[in-house]
Amino acid sequence: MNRTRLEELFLASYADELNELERTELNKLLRDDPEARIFAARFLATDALLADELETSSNERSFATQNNRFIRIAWFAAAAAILMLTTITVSLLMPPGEAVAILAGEELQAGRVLTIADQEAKIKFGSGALVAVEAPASLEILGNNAAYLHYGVATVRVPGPIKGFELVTPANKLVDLGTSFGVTVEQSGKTAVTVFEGEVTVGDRIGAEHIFAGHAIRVNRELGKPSEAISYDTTPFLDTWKSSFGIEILQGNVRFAQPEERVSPGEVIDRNSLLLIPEREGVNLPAQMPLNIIEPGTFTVRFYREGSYVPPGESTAKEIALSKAMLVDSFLLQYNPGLPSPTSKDKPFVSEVRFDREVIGIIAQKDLLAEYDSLLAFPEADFSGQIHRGTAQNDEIILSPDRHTIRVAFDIEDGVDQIRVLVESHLIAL
Amino acid sequence: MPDFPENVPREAFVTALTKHQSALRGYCQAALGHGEAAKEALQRTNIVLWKKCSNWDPDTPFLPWATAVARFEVKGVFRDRKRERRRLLFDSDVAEQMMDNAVEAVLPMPERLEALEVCLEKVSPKNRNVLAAFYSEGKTIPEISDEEGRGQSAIKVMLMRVRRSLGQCIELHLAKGGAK
Repeated sequence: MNRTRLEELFLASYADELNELERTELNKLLRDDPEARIFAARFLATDALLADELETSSNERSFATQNNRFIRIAWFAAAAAILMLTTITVSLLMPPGEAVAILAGEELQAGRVLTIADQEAKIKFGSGALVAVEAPASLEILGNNAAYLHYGVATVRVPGPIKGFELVTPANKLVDLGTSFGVTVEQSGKTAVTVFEGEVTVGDRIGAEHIFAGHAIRVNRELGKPSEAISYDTTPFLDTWKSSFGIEILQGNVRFAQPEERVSPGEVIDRNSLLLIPEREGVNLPAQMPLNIIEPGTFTVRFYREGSYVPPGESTAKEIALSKAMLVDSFLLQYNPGLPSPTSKDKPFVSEVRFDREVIGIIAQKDLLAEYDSLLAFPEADFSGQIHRGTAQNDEIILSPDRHTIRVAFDIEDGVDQIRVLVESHLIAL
Repeated sequence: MPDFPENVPREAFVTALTKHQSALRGYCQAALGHGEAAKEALQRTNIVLWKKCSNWDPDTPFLPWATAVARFEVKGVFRDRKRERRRLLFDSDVAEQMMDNAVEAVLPMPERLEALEVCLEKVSPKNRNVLAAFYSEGKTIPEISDEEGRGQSAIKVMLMRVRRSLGQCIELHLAKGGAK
């Protein structure tokens, strides 16, 4: 089923822009494809609900503007942001001595100022933007899609459809046009911006500067003065970059991929460490999609495709299908030494990763990995140079009972050891 | 407005019809697509439901009865428009198939509406304005493009992305049983 094309055609139909060729195409897509028709019926029914709901809200707003006593804007009633903490204590900007700890999951309203005194905090905004801040730092929530970094080191990522997240600093205003950047604000107010992916504007519309991926600047506070280009270095942001993806713990022979390594996972070589690489976010994983692991437990078998030859003496495990569609974020955990090295052979690599969300499933069989690259891998990722993806006979994968932690022990031989971990997507916020 | 038979409490029927208007609109739209045909089918359905209100037992679910009436009216609109050679979104065979799927799409409508309300709260005000302009005010993309000062392609892309995200959010919310 070509869901994207159906959505495009229905949008054109709603806008009354569907020509006859497209109408014929739409009917062809729906004819005798029950799955497509179910999707189409839900889509059209939801459009009707959406129209009614937006009309109802509009009527409420009209009433509110006519009657000042009832100034209420429904969509601001929701929290501006949700705070996600790991194991830190956050102090609010209150009178000295009145520190208040904030619990993970607490909803934050616009105007709240957070002082991060220890470790890191990750804040998910109502727009879907994610801001990970490293202590010591002070961050003020301005709204569903805006914040003020008074000081500290932060990574901002905007993976969802809603762009234009605004981060105000003492030096100037930064607007993310999609999708990620790092910013450091010193106590003096000096501000530097490093753009990892996409584009950021600095300043207001008139005279705004555009900073693109792979570039970094020191922001000039004086109006009309251009910013100063500085060397591109992601090192200061590696912790917040990792936190922004919801990685709570990373232990053992493993490191988190740097921004520039994300785009070409097939080419990243590291003989000394496993690499955890973030792939796509907010992927609609269809029901009945086969995976290798979907339940907690310890797995030491080598995975084979259904119906394929299994060498004598080897055990295998059946592929398991999800019972319903899920929205997931995808991560690769791989060991890729490049050319075989005497030092890498027979050296077990043990690592543990804890996510702030549940692990939905794991793919560990090479053909299954390849089959779903187009759905789950980062766009433009090329794995053609990798052989022996997946796990081998003596590798071990453990999924914890609470489904947040995976532990792997890869018994490294030649080639690449690789698994794909699918976690519950944080992209529920729009 | 017809007089109500004694066995059908007026309040119960009016409450049920009002409560399920979105579902009935959703059914007509799922069966006929966007546009005037679906609106006409909904209007005809409401009239017939009023006329046949005595056929409804208030102790039984309203929606299955109402969608059965709606199916008949949807077929009628389809037949009339085809005879008048007016444009329809679906071919005859596809429309027949869509009518079957439409029932399944609207039966969990109260839960779908609740999920939509939760998910809509997470859309930024700016994007919500564009959604409202397109879906409820009936503005065209060129009109919205002029008002927003953005290119038509950008508006289309934005609508597609937010609409897709809303759909995903709703399905996820429904899958989780409505947990926030």
